[in-house]
Amino acid sequence: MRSFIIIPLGLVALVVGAAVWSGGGVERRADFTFINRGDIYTLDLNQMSYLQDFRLTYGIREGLYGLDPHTYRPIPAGATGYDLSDDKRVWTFHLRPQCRWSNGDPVTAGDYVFSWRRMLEEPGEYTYLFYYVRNAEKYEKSYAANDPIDWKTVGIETPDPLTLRVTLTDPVTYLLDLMAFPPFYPRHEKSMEPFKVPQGPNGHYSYRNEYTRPPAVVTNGPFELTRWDFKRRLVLRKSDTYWDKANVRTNSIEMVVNDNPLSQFLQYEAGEVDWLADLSGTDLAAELKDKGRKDLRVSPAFGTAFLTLLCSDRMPDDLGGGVGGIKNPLADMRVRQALAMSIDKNFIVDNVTRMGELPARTYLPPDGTLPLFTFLAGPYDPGREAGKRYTDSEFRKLLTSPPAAAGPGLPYDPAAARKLLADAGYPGGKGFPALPICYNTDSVARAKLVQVVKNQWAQQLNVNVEIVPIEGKVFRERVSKKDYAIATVAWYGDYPDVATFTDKYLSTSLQNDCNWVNLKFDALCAQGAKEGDAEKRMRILERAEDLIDTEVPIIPVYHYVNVSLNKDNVHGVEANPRQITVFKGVYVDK
Amino acid sequence: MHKVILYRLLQFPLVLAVIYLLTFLLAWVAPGNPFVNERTLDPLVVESLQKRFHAESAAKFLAYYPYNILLHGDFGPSMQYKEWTVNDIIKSALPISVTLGLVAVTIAVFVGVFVGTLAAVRRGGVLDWSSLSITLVGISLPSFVTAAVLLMLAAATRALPVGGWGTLSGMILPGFALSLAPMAYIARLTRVSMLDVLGSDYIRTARAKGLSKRVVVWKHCLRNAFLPVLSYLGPAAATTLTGSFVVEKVFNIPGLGQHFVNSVLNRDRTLILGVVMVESAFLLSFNLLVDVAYSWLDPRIDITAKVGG
Repeated sequence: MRSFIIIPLGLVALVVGAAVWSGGGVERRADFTFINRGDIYTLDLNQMSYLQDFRLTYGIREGLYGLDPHTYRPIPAGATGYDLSDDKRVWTFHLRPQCRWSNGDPVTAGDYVFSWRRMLEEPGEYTYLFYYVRNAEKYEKSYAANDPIDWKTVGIETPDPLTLRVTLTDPVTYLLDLMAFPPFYPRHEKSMEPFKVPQGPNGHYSYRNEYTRPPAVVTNGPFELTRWDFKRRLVLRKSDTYWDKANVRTNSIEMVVNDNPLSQFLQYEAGEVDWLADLSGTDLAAELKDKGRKDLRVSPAFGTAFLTLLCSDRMPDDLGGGVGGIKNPLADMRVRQALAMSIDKNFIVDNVTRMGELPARTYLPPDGTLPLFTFLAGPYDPGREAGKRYTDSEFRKLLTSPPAAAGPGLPYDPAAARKLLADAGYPGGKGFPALPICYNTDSVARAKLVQVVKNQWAQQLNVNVEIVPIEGKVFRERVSKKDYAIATVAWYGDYPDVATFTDKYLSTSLQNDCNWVNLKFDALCAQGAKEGDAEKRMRILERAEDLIDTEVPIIPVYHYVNVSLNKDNVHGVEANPRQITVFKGVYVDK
Repeated sequence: MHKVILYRLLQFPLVLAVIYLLTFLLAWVAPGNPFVNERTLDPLVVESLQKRFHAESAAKFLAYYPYNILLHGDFGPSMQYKEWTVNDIIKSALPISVTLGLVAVTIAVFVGVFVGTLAAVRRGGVLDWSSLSITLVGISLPSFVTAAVLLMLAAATRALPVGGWGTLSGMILPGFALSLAPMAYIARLTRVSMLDVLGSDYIRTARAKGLSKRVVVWKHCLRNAFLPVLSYLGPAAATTLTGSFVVEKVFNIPGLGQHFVNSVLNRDRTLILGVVMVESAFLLSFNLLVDVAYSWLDPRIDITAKVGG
């Protein structure tokens, strides 16, 4: 018996020891605690692409321009201002002399050049934004081929440490918005040195991502990253070296990592966090809305959910379901239009998503991010001949009142849809093959969406589709390889300009996963890229957008909303279309 | 005896190497690219990422990583969590899972054995059938249900933290949720084997000798009845200690369980191999511990004996 007691005693001792080992202990709570949209994937500017990573980066780093906390328009930050040449191609930025890195070093133009050159030498998802700069793309491709062109020919120069001159191939009216976007931020080369690793024999090198973690990380934003416990929390502290620290209203911020929607909500309810940044994609949000929760904040988002239709002449050979290799009915515009006009999107936003999303008739959302943009009247609008246009607010009003024929894009009109289908050679849906419609199983909303769409097409057009659920990674691969017929996808704008949407469907774009080729569209986009006058450029791109909305290579279904939770005493976290958080202005009234 | 232990220990590297190769093959063959997220990537970008991770081909992967593991114990960088190496991730998550697992196993063993023993001793009584029903519920209820209910209780009463890790009170609910299934099994196992032992001759002799019931049950019976529980406990402890995905997800505990599932969903091949190696090492060690404990508990068992004499 005596020896047997070792077991329970041993167990208890192990438990206590392990508890100590795993780092128990309560910490003092930060001034502002929040749960981000998800866990941080990376804080390396080269590889960053997730929204939560950008959100945190806005807190710890800064670029030439920052974003105004209320209007989210670019305002001077790392730069005090700029000069623009007459041909609008040469931008000369004047750096702010008081800007310092978190280790005290001054921020110089060389830091910007170092960071931008890294984006070209080790390409990431947003390297393509640098192609606006003269010879940048040439440099990137030639460097990868081990025969780099002279760096001096690339349109990035530093006449002195506080001046940065950027020469573009064509005018870019929204360059300041790009300067406020993290891929264009500077980096501190010296502190990254210890993490440099050679990549192969040709002199290429990379930096280990650990440079972004404390204690080695050096940043230039309003806050410093002082602690990063993997999968648990990130802690930010107000930076002593920041040029505008007088206007930073909080001393410490903690980002709690929590991936589980129920647990997130309970933590918020229990008062453990001040702000739940993203409740999207769960039924929980709709229930809270029905209960009339005052702390639920909903705002339109700069993104659209849509169905992408393969526009190639033939179906992919290995598609399966007996439709591999057949002539593609979706290649005919009339078929696509018929499919688009027989989906009752109001039903979907009222019953499937239920968060007050706008049913969509256009690819670009009318959420107010682009004040100069107007939408052209669609082909069924009596005002089309006269060139009628709709502003964002007029269009939104139209979308929320009962569906009408008038307006941009295609209306909901099953009778006209049936006629189009008959004209295309499938009267009453006869002879139309049973195409597969794929969706990403990560999302519950999309599963419901495809079922509703299948029913509506069967009812209105007598067209049957097969529902094919596909797991996340495989789904993305298949869509980008164009190995599908119809798929549910989405697109969010990265920066406040039309190009972030329209560039996707250029026939030369890597992102054009529906294989839609329209030379008129390409020409309009190219013309818009060269146009220096902002208004004239909008008129050109409006016609490009109209082509997408009329020829429907993609069928827009609804525009996203951003949903978050915070009590009234939390300031500076207003829901906004691009989900930007200006941490400088965030504070909690205790 | 020592020879057997030594022999088993020498087998470890061979078994682990086979597990590594098999896991690698499966992970490599699975469709889906670890580097593709939302957008279609420029082939140059994909190429530079693959080069960085030595993942251009199976041969390059196998040429780099096992060497690193054997020489430096370094599993390499995680393909999904780019700021962290697999070692970092395991180092941060394993202690948490182990602690939680230990809490769960402790609760399960103590309560399970106690309830099982009492049920056997008072066979046919209220305690017997009620404990049987409760254990049946414990085995049948999915862990995400019990965990979610406990979480909501915590939120409603505000008595305990709502998820997260860091305080002793934060270990109670998830530990309890995790312990329910093993507790149910242990209770049933104990009950059955107790019943078996209680009916044997030497126990009747002990009672006849005049030893009290308490001494007989807790000192003599339990030691023998505990053997089946021990066999179950070996692998059960190994899997519990390396993390339960569901409980950790519901209570938002940054343990190792989530990495088992997420690494596969993300096709994070280095992390998959890292966590599988850790779990295998645990399993092998615990199995060996259990075999040794057997012979310590019951001297009649000779693990060195060959089959057939």
